[in-house]
Amino acid sequence: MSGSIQRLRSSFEGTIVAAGHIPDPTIAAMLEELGVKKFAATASELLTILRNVPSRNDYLHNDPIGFVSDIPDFAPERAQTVAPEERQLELVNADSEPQQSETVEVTSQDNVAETQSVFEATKRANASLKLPSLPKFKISLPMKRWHRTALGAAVTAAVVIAVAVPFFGDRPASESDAASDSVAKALPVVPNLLTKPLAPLTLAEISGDILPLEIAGIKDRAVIEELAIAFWGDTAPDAFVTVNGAPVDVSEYGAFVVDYPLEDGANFIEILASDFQGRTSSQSFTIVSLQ
Amino acid sequence: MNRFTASFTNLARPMAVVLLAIAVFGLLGIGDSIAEAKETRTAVFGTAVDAPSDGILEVVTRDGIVMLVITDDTRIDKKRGTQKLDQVTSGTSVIGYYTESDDELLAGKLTFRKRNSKSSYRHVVGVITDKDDDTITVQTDDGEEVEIGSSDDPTDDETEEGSLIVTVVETDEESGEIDAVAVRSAEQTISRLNDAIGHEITLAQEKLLKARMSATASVHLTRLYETLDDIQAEAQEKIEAAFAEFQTSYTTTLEDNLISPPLVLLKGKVLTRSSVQVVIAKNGNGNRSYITLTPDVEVELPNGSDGQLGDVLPDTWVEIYALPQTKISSPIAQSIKIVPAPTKPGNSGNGNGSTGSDAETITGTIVLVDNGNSGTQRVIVVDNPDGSDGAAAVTSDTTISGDDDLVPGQEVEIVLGDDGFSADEVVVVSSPSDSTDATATPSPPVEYKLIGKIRELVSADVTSGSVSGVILDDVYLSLETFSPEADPLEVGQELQFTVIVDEDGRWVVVGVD
Repeated sequence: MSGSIQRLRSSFEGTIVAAGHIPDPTIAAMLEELGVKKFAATASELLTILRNVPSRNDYLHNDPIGFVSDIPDFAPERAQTVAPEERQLELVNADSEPQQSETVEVTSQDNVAETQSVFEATKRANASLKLPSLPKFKISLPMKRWHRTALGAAVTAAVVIAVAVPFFGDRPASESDAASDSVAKALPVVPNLLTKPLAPLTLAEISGDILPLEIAGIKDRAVIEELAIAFWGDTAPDAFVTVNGAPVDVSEYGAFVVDYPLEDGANFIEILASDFQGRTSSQSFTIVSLQ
Repeated sequence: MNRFTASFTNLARPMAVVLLAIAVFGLLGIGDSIAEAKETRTAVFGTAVDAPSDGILEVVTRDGIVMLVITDDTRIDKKRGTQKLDQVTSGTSVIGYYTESDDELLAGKLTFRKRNSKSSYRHVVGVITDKDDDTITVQTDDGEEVEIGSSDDPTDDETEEGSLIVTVVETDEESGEIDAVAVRSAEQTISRLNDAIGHEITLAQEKLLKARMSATASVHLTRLYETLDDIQAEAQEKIEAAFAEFQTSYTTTLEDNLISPPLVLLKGKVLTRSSVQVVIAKNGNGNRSYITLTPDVEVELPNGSDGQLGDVLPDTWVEIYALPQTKISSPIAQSIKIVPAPTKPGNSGNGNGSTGSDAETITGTIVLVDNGNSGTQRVIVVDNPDGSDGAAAVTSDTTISGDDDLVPGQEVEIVLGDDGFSADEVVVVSSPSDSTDATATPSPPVEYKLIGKIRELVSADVTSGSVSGVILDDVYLSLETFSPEADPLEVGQELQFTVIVDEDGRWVVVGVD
């Protein structure tokens, strides 16, 4: 087990949280000595770590083809900001041109403020979504104050419901539930990583005719509803590994971790590993992301 | 108040109520339909049976044939390496998703690719024999000279003429020009491995790293040695200088780690041998290597047993590890391994069974046999070893050998016709054995232990107040299939939950400690 932990340590820079309670104090002490920071108090912290491997892998988020030299520092929030830019909500009033008003002009600014608070709640529940700016509603009717209030309330209610229904559906309309659900869906890769890490490659395996390339956390023909997929693998520590042409860091244990952003629809992921002996291995995955 | 405003006032209140109701229920319907549309999207991995006709694209998948309706809302992937809708023909790979509406399958977003389409990226390994600001010239181990546009990746390793590099290159489909995307050098890699030995690693890993350092250094020097035979005379001086430089550097690094100096590996057919020298034709060609022999040189026979120098006879094939000299023309043999004559030259090794260059053949296991829509042909879907699917139509003209019946589970080789979809020949390589794993008991789900503090109790049914889940720190755990029999759960409790991950990816509690 110590070899596995050490391999993980070499993949992440320092912050490792063991998933799974370690009741045995001797084992816990050993893990601490190996550099394990904490024992699964929050599984989502593991996801944050996995999503924030502070390495050049980061540029895969922003530029799968080219390269970004300025690597951002470790930022836990980044896990929620890697969504593709085009992922925007499009069901709010699309009329951008306000109607002409010759009599009484009533804007829905107050209602917008109220709606905005709902938007904020929804945004927290769906942090990866970017909401468009709210339009101004202009109503030109000869009405009294309560008329305006009633209509304003109707518009507000309609907008609120239109925004809320697609997100909450038949699930409990709890903000924290929605937030935690989005986290939980992404989590299964994490305990797999820590409870069933790839077996360490031996010198004999690395020195054979074929360069070993073992990949976990990703399956071919997978259909997922995530914005990114995290996978990891093993190869020789001196191997050069690329994912769709972009290099990734390989630890001295031959381990590497990739957090790859997905586009809506088909995604083709090709992992190539080569060494200086001229051995090359590859694995390809086709994934459909429903975003 | 005139008559108009008075009547309006009387009507406005019910009008407002009606408007409110319409707005609420109308938008509720929109919301429902949007939510439903999201829920019914279905992924498709398949092969086009034919070019789309009248807005219908017939696709064969593992689940059978689906008829996708191409609408104005259908989005076609336009990324490089993909095909446009009007380029789709029989055999084109179709990946994406669709939604169901009124018994029609409406194509949502689709990506079309040629069967066996190749990535525009590949790795090139070789020695830099020439370099300027814009390009590097690389001599690969199979003697090919490749000119590559320089990479501008700031994380690239520093290189020079004589460096052994592995680079990922991108080939422009139209011009054929090759550009490096990123470069790693053997010398920098050895330096990284050397640095890693100073980390807190296991002794076994330290041993492994040292072995890899030694192997990489030897490969670099060997490649430099071989490159001298392949390049023009004017370039040899630079390579010889690089050889001396790297040999000195590597020897120092390895000796610092108590590792023997790097050796060069010379392969070839023995031409002559005396007690002090052996001459080999490298790789069997006209390039000769003169290698000094010493009395203590080790000889290994093809069966792995120890041999003697007398076993190294003319026309035998050998692999000689030799210590290169400063003047690299006469390395000193350290070990000689007698090996069988090579059957065919070339590289070996590909991790997961590439489909190869023959685009007209599909090899794999049948996962579906469908009678098709036309009734005149059967369609079979094959799972390729590399994970991708292939599909072909079995017509009356198709020759089937090995087994008369095509059934799922058979391993087959399919030779496609000119249209890229009809099978000219299907060879059944093997049939599924009688002992299938259909009756095997599915393995129980993996259980995980999560410990944390309950932040919130979640109830799906407000009226009953039953707890359907808990927020453990910021992770939602479902209690749909588990109810703690002992003390009720309370916010603030610090507990250990035993959970599994269900098919929907949710954490489901199966126990509480």
